[in-house]
Amino acid sequence: MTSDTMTRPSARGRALLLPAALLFMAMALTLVASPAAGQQNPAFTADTDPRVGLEAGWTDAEEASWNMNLLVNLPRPDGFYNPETPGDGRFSNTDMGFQGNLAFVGNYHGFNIYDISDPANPVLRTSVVCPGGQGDLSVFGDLVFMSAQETRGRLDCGTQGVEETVSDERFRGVRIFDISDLDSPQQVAAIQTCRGSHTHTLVTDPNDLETLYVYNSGTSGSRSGEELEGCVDVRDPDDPTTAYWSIDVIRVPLATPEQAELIDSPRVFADDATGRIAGLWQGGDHGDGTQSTRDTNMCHDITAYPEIGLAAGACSGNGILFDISNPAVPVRVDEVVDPNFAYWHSATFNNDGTKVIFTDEWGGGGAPRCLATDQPEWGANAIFDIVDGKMQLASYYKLPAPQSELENCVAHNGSLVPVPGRDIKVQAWYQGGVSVFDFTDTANPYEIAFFDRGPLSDEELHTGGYWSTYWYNGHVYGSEISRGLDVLELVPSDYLSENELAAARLVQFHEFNPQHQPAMHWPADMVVARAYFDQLVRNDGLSRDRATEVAAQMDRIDAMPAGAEKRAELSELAVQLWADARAVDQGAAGDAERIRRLAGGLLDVAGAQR
Amino acid sequence: MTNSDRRHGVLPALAAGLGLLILGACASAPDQETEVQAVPANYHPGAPGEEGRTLSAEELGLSADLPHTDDDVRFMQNMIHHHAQALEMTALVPERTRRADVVQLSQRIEATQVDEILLMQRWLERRGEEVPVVELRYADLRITPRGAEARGDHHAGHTEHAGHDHDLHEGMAGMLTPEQFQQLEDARNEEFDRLFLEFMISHHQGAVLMSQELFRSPAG
Repeated sequence: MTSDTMTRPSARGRALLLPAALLFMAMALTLVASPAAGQQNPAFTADTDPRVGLEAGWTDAEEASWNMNLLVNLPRPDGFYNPETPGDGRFSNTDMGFQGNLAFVGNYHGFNIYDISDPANPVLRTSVVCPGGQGDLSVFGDLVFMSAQETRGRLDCGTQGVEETVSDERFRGVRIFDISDLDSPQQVAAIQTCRGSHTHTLVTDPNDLETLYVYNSGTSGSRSGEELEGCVDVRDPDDPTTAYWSIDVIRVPLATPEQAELIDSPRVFADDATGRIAGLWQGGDHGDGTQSTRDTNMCHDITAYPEIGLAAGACSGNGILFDISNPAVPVRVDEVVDPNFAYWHSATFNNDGTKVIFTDEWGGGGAPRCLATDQPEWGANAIFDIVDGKMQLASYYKLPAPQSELENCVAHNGSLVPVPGRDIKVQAWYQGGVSVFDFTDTANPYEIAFFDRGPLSDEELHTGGYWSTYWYNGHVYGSEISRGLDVLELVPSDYLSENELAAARLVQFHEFNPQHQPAMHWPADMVVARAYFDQLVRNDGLSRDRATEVAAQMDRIDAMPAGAEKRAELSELAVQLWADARAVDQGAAGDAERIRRLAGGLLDVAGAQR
Repeated sequence: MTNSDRRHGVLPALAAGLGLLILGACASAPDQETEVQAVPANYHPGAPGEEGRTLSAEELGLSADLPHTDDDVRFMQNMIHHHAQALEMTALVPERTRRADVVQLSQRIEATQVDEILLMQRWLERRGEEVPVVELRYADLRITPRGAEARGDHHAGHTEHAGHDHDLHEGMAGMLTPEQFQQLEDARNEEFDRLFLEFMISHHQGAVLMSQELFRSPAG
């Protein structure tokens, strides 16, 4: 994108003191400049931010919000929490998937299905008991996929655990449920894996609609070969049979999901030249004053974007791009390390597939890592441009408000907000709350909205807060680890106009699993053009006089009845705008690309006139 | 999978095959309308191929009461002592090293060990199990499930879990013997740095071993 950011935060950059060794390394890597995390909220500093110092409470914590509202909170259902404490990890809410008017919310104890026909009034539809953690969910057609990793997980979904060290009753891997009857989801398959399933990712094959693939990321220790044939619990990269240093590929025939099977555990971290399976980050720090990064023997989370043929793997010590044009055989095409990252955790592409955000789960999610004294580049997002298939670090974004020692806080899961012409993400930060930020200009991300609660307790740190926050069909859904399901709405502000929000609401998915990232398309609608127009006004991309003229034209044409005349007028305005863009190309002030987007939006509406 | 193309005809079959559908400007509700029930269903699935069963609301509530094992408790209790020794080791650092990076490392270790000791103490307390209280002589800290506080009697008196007293826990992997701890206490500068790092590495390796043992134990 050639334009500047929409609204740039005030330029009070926070100087980053780099130790000499890091500087030296940076030079050695011929980096032009090491990006720093500057002030990332345009309206507040740490001294004025209303998120600082909120009162604690499990169900009655003090709240702070900016440009977004909490519509409703539904506490976890009976059986899915421990009434004595919010911090009982056996009942943590986890990840979410969506289908139609249903939200599927994972829990270490099973999952819950909510009817969200009225987003402001979600209704619990079904509770399914099936412990095993962490219960990450995806939904596809009549199938729900669920990750199980703990040794207490049972094939029969029993709650009693498994006593024996080796048992054929134990289940660690990916479960598949048939939800065609929402009253009684049936387990139709359970694919055992050596390291269980911490997260999984659906991967569709555009050339084979009968088959679904699932990439499985196991992050726990392997079980023994006695319990599951072929598992070798040896952390030795020179042992070619080791259960570590791989991901799992599961193939699901959609007509017969009970025949789903593990087809491969490819050595995706292998050194291209030597074939050594531990070919990527070996673990440890990157020099004096740098973060210590876990070694790359697993992926934590993989986000597949089938329409661009790429997946982004957040793989412990590395961020990785995979070519998934053949989903059965992911091929590593690029990888990066980062001296500020402790643990590469999750990834989100922008809609064009030209940028990717990786998150760093420094401290594992249970630790308070948003303290005022914590380096802003640690436990943050790293934002990369993808240029010729290679990732280039542009900046970091971290929750701009310091949190207390009683709040576990670090970058966690989020999704895009479908505002045309901008890259915006809504993201969970555990007890740091939810933060919505713009990364259209990858070098200058800035926050545009937030919601936060005080700590769960004023005495001790319980692991809690948002596991994930996702935009789905017009609302933000938050899976709160110990407070249940939240539904929030964004509201118009200086940083997001009513037209931009209305255009975002036009993008409606029938299904949404954030790690199976779908392309967003905007329909031919005047409000999409108006969203681009608002952006041009905000960033001075069109001269003020010209903007006034164009606004008047759009209002006039908008009021016309549908038909050939309206089509002609829209086309005429679009042609004029193309001329404006050309003038910018030739040196006039303005945002040529966005003017062309506006013209294109008007042409789309023209084309829809009959 | 439901296929809404028929109704909307906006996007080609490819998008539907990918499991997503852009409905476009038309604001009709998605086609999977479900009947909202007054009372939600509670279901406990069976193994693949087996019938599950519907749970009563009462049964659902009971499922929240899951057991922990004696191994879990022993692990937590032992690991608290193990972490305590790491804190005694880091307490020696400021007066014995000249290196900023060793100080920084020890501060990192300190921060995480205190957090984790509290976590483990509270885990035990909530389950009604015996909670070891940590009294640290060198670090001048008393750690209970309520939090960590200065003992205020620095270098005085007998402390159960300090570096020297290992009779209780000497069997644990990676714990320094009293002789090793004394060696560390007496060392200075480069000698101290080397010993500190060596001991800390074996200390952590011991903790990893303890964790692996727990994972290998039944239902651990």
